Amino acid sequence: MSLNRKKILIADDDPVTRLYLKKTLEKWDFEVITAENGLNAWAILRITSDIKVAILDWQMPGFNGLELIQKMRQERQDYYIYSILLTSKDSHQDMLEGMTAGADDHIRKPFDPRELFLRLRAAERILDQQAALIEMRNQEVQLAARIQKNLLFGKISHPHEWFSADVLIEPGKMVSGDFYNFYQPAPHLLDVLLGDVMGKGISASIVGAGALNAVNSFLANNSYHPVPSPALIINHLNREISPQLISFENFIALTYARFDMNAGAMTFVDCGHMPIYNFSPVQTDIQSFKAGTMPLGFSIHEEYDEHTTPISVDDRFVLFSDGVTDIENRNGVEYGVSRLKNILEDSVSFSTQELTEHLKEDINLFCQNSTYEDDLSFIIIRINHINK
Amino acid sequence: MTEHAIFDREELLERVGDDEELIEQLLDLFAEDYESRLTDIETSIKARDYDTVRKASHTLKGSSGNLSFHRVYYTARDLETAAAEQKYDQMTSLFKILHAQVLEALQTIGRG
Repeated sequence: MSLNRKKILIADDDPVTRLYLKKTLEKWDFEVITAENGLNAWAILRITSDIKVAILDWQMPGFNGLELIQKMRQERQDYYIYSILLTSKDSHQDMLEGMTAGADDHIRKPFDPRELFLRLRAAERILDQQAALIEMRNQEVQLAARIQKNLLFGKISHPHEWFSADVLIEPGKMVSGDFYNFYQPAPHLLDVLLGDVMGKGISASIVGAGALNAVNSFLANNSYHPVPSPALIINHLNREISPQLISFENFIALTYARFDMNAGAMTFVDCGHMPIYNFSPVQTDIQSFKAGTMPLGFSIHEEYDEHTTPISVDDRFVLFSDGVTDIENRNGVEYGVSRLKNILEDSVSFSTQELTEHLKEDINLFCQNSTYEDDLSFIIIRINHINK
Repeated sequence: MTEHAIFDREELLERVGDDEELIEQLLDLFAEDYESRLTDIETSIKARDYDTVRKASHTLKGSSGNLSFHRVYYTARDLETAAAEQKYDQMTSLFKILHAQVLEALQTIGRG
């Protein structure tokens, strides 16, 4: 019999029952901890991260078994413990009430060791299967995150000397709902797309891939002369994907920015996304560009306007997702817009790569290398030359 | 009414998987504990604290059941019920029986 040494909590105020259960379960290779009343049991349960099964006496001082199960279900929604109530063999009513209140199983006193063993085996089957499902899911999410990073995220395939660019992408705890791409519809144009799908997980990443694909195929179609404007591209995208987004009850915040070396201008469309920041060595005050419109997926009839601003040599433009500013450290403090702005202002002399490195170090310093909930996406473009 | 055994060693051996050492430890625990438990029940009966009588009898029922002290088990169960139903006279007479049975059980296991 292989029982994997699962950790079990026994809570009973009767010392005879505690000792009997402890010794018996240890013989079956379980690891056992005991509590002599409901308060001590709760002190253990509220912080545990490794107890798999809790055997709880129905009646104890402090909290009774039923109250402990209800407290667990309410206050430890992050964690599932298989709970077994101890009931008297002559109280059918206790058993019914306990199972109704959320106990996974019950064991009758006085104990029949064969029954005890078989019920623990049943608990193990369920726990092992649950662990296997979680493991399978984690593997799938990790694979999805790798596929997304390598196949779906954009690359600057033909860097031109008139601009430099760098990207910082840090996946959150789950696969990302962020997506981005670079396009060069003409040698003097650089288009940057950054989107953030509401929610996280595999479904959010697929929605992002779908939106990216819609833009990619629109731009790959050579029949457009001249090159379609950012507003045309985004309004086309909105008409194409909004009906689906509305039916999934999902939406996408997105920025599309075009840098034009010949015109010396940046033209952007903002669909409810974070602002674009602009700074340079001659103008360290950060300028912020935002249109304040709705994300994609709110209405098919929404018309998105584009806005144009002149650009100069040495200008830096920054596009980022709210995952950057919303990072929380262990004390629940947000990274925030002002800290990001300080980093940018300190980095006016840096190359694009140096700046993303600097930002990454500062974020790690801020959250003390703990993992973040949301994905971080940060893109920096530096203008090296314009023809005007 | 069937006469229940005061102590069923065979049943207890089966429950502990023939672990004689564990049996001794469990019986020691019971022997250490019984006096304060009986006192608790007795004072609560006098105070007509039905809830405490019910809970204390329930706990004694649990340990005596697991030690195969059959007579103690059934009397503790009846006392638990009497307390739940707040039957004072029944409680006092059942307690006398319970007290005698616990002492008898302790003698049987050589801890009297």
